[in-house]
Amino acid sequence: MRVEQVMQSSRYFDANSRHDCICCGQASFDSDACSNCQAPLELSRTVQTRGTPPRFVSVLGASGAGKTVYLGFLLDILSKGGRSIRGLPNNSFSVAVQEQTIGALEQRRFPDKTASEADSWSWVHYEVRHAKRPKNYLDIVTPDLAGEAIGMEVDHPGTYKAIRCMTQKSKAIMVLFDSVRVRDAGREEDVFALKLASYIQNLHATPKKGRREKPPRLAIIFTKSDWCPEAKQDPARFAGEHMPGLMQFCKQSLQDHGFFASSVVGSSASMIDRYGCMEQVPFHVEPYGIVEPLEWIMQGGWN
Amino acid sequence: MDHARWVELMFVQQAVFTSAQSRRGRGYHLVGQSPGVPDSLAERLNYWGPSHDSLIHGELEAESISYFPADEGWFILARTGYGGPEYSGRGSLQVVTRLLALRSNHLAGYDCCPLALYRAAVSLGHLKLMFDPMEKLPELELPTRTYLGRTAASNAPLHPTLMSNVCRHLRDEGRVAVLNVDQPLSIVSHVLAGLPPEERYWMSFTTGLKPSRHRQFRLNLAPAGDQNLIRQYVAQGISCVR
Repeated sequence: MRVEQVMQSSRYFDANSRHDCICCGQASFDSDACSNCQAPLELSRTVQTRGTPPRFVSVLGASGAGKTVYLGFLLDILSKGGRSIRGLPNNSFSVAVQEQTIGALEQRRFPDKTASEADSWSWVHYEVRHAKRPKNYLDIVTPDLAGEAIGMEVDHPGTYKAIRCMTQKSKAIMVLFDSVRVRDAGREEDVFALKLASYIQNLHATPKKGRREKPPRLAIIFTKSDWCPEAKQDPARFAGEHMPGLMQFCKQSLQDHGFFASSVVGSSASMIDRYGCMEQVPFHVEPYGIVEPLEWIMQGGWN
Repeated sequence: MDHARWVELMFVQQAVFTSAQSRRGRGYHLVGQSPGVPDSLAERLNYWGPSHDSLIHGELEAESISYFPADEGWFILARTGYGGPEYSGRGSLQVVTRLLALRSNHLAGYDCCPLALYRAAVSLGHLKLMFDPMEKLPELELPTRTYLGRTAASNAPLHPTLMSNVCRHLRDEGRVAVLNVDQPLSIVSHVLAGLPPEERYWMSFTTGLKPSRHRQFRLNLAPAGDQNLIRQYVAQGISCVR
């Protein structure tokens, strides 16, 4: 296969235009996005300008788990404040996911499916601080990515560099599972969950500078729990009953973990239009358990 | 007199990429492939496949013909369009892509012209966009050569300055996007006809997919030319002409 590579050697002399990607470390010059992982370079500039080391939190989940809705709503709640933790966007493009989610829900629909192509993902960078202990902060830095991409990366590590690099750098990870699918097709979801957990553990298991890196805090969130009251009632017990493989793996290898249930919509229904397209219609918003996973992550402190 | 002629046939591999819930997975993935598609090529196609909102035009009848050389001696010819409702109930249409996986000898009988092979496949009822996720895809039988004569540029009138610009960009910089095109296949035909046969294998093109780093085509034909699209082309180092 022929490959064409644009040479940038002459730009090495212009130090001002060089930026090292905060996600993968690749140097890029005078462009909007990293040529290696497609993370926005503005993200890297902001973190480097701030001066304090980043503490990354990323959001993962299978296709249809509700990542876009969860992330958009979480950022909306954080930006409004009023809780023990509050967050602010670090750049203008970080608001896109929040805007897309809230805008769609206001029109009584869910956001469109996220495309698999990495260069179409919306990235967010929210700086989240504790209201009373501002030195306790973290950075929600994550692309709103497609679940299929996570599946591909887990099966063929290195396919999506952004996922690999962000997961490796994250001090904490929020992993979303559709509670209805877990209840109804538990075995399939448990197998995927096990693969994802192994992937996360392997990325953090490589000894660095002579010492093992501490695995990230793992918040396992069962979404759409408005349709699954057993997940809402006792998420840990729900996990034990329907995802025994993941439960066992976490007890052995990712001990710093917690189970949560969340929902955004109070009630919804299915509608079929004249083309035969089925669409879920949210009737009203009733957020539950959106911020709690992040509060738990921040309670753990940082080494 | 008996004018019957025996038509020699060849077998080519095929695959379907779309959003579905199948035993292979959920969401956009390779939902079916014929037995001769190796795992390495399937993995490549899973990464290449056009997913949600990949077509430039949003109309129901929008479609795109694409061609590119893949790894390990494979050449991919694809037809992308809208299928039925996307399975996850988010109100959008699924993007469906039917792919033919070819070897160089498959194209040789068509004067090394992917468009000629595409026309033969479509005329025989292949490359249909509707599919059944449970369907087992067989290898496709196609004639070993075209019966339509040698590759010729389309008879549709094309602006000579535009075509000169397109060919110059392809020769000098490698990648070009032609905007506001209403006869994309004519332009592709003209470009391919101007190349020696052995160079046609390497002229990747698309007639309607949005630019993406997952799919790097040399010749991009766009039915539209809004600023957002132009920005995407420029960001990937693709020169735009109209």
